[in-house]
Amino acid sequence: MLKKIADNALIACNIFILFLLVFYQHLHIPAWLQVAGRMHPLLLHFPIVLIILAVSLDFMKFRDRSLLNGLWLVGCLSAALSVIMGIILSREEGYGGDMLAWHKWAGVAVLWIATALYWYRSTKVKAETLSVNKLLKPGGALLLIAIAVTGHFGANLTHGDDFLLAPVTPKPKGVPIAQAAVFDHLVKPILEQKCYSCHNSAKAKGELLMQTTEQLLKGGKTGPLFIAGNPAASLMMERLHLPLDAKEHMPPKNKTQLTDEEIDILQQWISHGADFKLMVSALPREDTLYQLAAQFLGGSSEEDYTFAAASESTLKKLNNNYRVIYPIARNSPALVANFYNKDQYNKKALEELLPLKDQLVELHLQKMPVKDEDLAVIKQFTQLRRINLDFTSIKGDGLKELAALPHLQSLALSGTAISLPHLQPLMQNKTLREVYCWSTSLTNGEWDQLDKQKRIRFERGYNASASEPLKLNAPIIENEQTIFLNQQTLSLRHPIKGTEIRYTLDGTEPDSVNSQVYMDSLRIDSSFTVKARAYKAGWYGSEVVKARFLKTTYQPDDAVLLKPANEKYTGEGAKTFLDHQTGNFDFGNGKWLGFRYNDMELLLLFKKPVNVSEVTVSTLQRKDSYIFPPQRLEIWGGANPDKLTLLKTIHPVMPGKDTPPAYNPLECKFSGKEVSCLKVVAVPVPKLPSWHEGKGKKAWVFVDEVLIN
Amino acid sequence: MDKEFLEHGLNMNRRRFLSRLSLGLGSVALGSLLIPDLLSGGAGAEEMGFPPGIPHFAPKAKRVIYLFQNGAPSQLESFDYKPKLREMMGQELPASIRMGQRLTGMTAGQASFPLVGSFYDFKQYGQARAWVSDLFPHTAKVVDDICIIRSMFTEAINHDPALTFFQTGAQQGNRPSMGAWLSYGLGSENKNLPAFCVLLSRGKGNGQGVYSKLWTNGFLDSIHQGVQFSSGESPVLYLNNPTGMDSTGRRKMLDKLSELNHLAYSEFGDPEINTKIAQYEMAYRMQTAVPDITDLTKEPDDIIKLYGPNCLVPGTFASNCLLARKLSENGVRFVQLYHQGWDQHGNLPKEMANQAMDVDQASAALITDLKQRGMLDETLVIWGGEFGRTNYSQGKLSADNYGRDHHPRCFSIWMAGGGVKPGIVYGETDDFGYNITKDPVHVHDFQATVMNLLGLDHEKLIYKHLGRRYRLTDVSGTVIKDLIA
Repeated sequence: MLKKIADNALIACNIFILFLLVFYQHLHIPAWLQVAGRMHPLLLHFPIVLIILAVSLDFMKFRDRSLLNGLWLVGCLSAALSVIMGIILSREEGYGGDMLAWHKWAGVAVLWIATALYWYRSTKVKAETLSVNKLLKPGGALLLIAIAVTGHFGANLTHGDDFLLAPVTPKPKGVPIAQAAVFDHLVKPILEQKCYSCHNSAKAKGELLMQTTEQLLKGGKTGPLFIAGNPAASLMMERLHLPLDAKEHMPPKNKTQLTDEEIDILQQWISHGADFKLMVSALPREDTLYQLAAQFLGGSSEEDYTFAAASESTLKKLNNNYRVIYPIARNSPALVANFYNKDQYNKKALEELLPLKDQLVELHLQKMPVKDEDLAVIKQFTQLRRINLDFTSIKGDGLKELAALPHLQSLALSGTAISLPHLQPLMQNKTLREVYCWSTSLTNGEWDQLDKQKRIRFERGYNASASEPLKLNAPIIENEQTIFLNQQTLSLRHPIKGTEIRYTLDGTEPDSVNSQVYMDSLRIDSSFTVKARAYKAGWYGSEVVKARFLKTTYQPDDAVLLKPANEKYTGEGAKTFLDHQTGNFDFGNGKWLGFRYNDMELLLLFKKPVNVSEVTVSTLQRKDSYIFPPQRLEIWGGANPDKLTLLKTIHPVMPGKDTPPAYNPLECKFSGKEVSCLKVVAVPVPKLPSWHEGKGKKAWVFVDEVLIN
Repeated sequence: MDKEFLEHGLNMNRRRFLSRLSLGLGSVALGSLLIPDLLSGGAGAEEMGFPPGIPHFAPKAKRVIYLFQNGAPSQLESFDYKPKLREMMGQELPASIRMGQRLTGMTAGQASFPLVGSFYDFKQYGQARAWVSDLFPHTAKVVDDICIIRSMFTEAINHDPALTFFQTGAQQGNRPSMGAWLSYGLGSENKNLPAFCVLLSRGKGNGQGVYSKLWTNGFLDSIHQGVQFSSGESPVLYLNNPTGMDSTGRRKMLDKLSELNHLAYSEFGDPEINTKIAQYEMAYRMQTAVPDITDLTKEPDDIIKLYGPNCLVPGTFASNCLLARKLSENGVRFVQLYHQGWDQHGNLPKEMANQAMDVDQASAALITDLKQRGMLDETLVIWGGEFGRTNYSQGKLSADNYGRDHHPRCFSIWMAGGGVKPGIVYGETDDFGYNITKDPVHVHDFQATVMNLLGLDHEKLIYKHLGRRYRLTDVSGTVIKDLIA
């Protein structure tokens, strides 16, 4: 009963397939049926397995006839279903071409042969003659061949037609970068690997074919693939850059994706005008596409050196402290030589290397006193790839010698006395790729002339005049002490040669026109404030640097503190006031004396009487650290400590809430008086103001220097 | 044969040591404590099966200049652009992002962790459209020559262990520094200069100290130790002849000393004696080589403008960059710069601007300068700190002031030249700039990659010490192939 239904179903299927094939060109598949169609790749494995099993059992003379017939029947039915689904799938967009036709007809052939064999063996052949029948075995063999053919074409459809043999197909040998074309050797291999499997003559998804130049230019259903010179507006780049999950993203999610470098290459190719003929060697060396190509084609850094290595003993003999020769890597015959210390260099040192002339690939002579005649020696090192003659003494006449070097790639001549005519012979060298020649006499016009040829890159180096001027740094005031006895020698300096320093001593801002130019150190004999700026052509003027210098005329012979400084801030005792060393904002550095719970009372004694008219007391103001100016400052003077009269009292200005920390010299001027003894009294603020965090507490007074004029 | 000779010499040494002090076995124990390799014999060369001093395979880079930004510059104000942090300014860091990350003692007590975006704007530059903050305008211009890694991470959370980890591959110290390993692995190029030089500078920002243990040779031969060049009259300490001694006198003294040392060597065969002789000789040659190199006044005007006017002020980062180029040009394998002052726990907007001002132009200038000399291909330049900084504010957050604490889970560095892929941005972090979402690079991976660029296999460059084989990358590290051109 079941068998009967199945038999009928098989017949029905075959008739249906016949119908599908006849009206193949007119088929329109609704979406829900497309789902069924897409099960073709799953289902097709059943007929393959079942039919192969059935044929094999026939060959092995399997006796259970009804089971075997059942196997054949199920095999035929699954084949029929696979064909139907295959036909439905093939009507989806993107399939077509010879490969599909072959696959389709081979598949149909499998079905029909299998059906015929089934019908023949189950109705025409008797059980006992089954094993000796003359038709069944050749039929089975034919069927197996048909299955293999169908499978092969099917696999080609999914994986691309070089899939099967790819591992044994010899890969095209790497192209040297000098002969590589951008499209043929960079772009095309990417398209072959990542795009062809869907966009080929067999399976033109999106009506796009990518195998020939014309096809690429034509584009697909949505439009042209790219707009030469404008990758951002090119469809191909858009599809590549869409998120992986996007429906339009290419290649589809389940296919092998392009690497970032591959995308870069496509992008660069389009932005270079999508030129099918462009050669890599025509690109400037620093061009991104050139660098990608070098990466992709395995640039020259991995060069294989085939010459014989030099003997270990020669190498050892020629190596010394000023001439270092070493192999570029373990087991490599290629050698690099470096020269150091210009006093040790001479032509002979170069000639001594000649035993290595067949191994030396790099020669570094920068900053050595190399002369033009030495280049005739260098010429004999025929394996040289790279020569560095930066900042050597060559004038250029010898450069023609180097033109004959057969492997020379890079030549550095920066900072030498060469000129344009010296470079001309080098143009004849076929392997030369880069010449460094900045900081030479070459003019912009000459550079442009050199750049007319594209093969050799001439490095111009950084040109400061082409960029925005920079601001100079401020001049440096070299004097370390800002307090001086009687006379000061002011010296200013700027680290950059040829810089002009302009200064003022009267507190006005220096400028580049009216202010004095600093020539040599200045001698100054009264307190002053120096302000200085640096100027130089091609630079913006510097910030102002300023410093106040204070003079002291009389150096006391002795100093006594009548009341002690706070034990934490005693400095070096009373002499700290007279050592000309100013403290900074770090009041704990030993150059300050601090007073809080008692006044500062300092006695200054002179062996010979002096005529004093001014006393300056340098104090610190750091309100956050409770350090205020003294509330009151008194200067007393007289012939001896017991006969002092008050000469001056001042009440310094107190800091406000927002006053920044400051170094405060407090000047006390009075009419001149002959004294042998001075007393300085500084009274700390007894109660900090109410806005201060320590309000009501005692303030500190810090003093570092006392100046007497 | 050499080995027996060495053994004999050391035995003699030991016998004399014992008989003179008559302290018995205790002295042997003491001796081996003081000189760990006394009883184990030499290490290295035989273990490795080939002599160190030549790369294992063709190197891309010959030399390294490492611009270490000491104190950990914030990735969020430099190379890791996170607009979301600005949008969420002041909101609390979600626990789902923090995922139990430990905090330093400085913010562990903080009641809230308000997110804070960069005070500075970012723009895109170069073919990779890399985001760079406005603080680094010069670096932005060379972005096509550098490779920005935004997905570095480390294990340490405080400066000293993190620095030590970066430099030596272990947090605890006493291991050889990266420069020492490379000196050991590649040997020196120029025998008139040390293979490993160190230059220090300091910015105005909150700083962290650097110590000589960061450029130690550890258990390697002392010839591999980093030599510090300082600014001022004598760039290398103790190099000048003492007052009253001229160079002829010096030479005579060295010849005599060397005679004595050779005598000692033939008696004891201790290889350290030969090292000593070599070091004295190199110091003598350095007396002529160093002044020539450290004299920056002969540089052409264009170069001064390239590095900025401060490059002639000794002790600045710019001056050290220029000096680094000159040292590298003269065959120094590893030049290590440290620029201090990047520890912005507070006052970040202002301090970081100053720090960036110190280093930006000179770092970019170094790239341009190496390139125009054809040296960038063979010189690896590295720029970066020891870890990153948090995406939330340390301390009070206001519109124009905030701080950032230490953050080991992600930070940004850049590398250039020496076979590194130029013009790429590698790795990604989440929208909060807190966790890495793509291509993480561990410190050991970074070290393995650097060694690979120099032609060294990080698993093969080993040294046996105290019975164990050591390498820079300890027991881990993977070469990040994607960074290599």
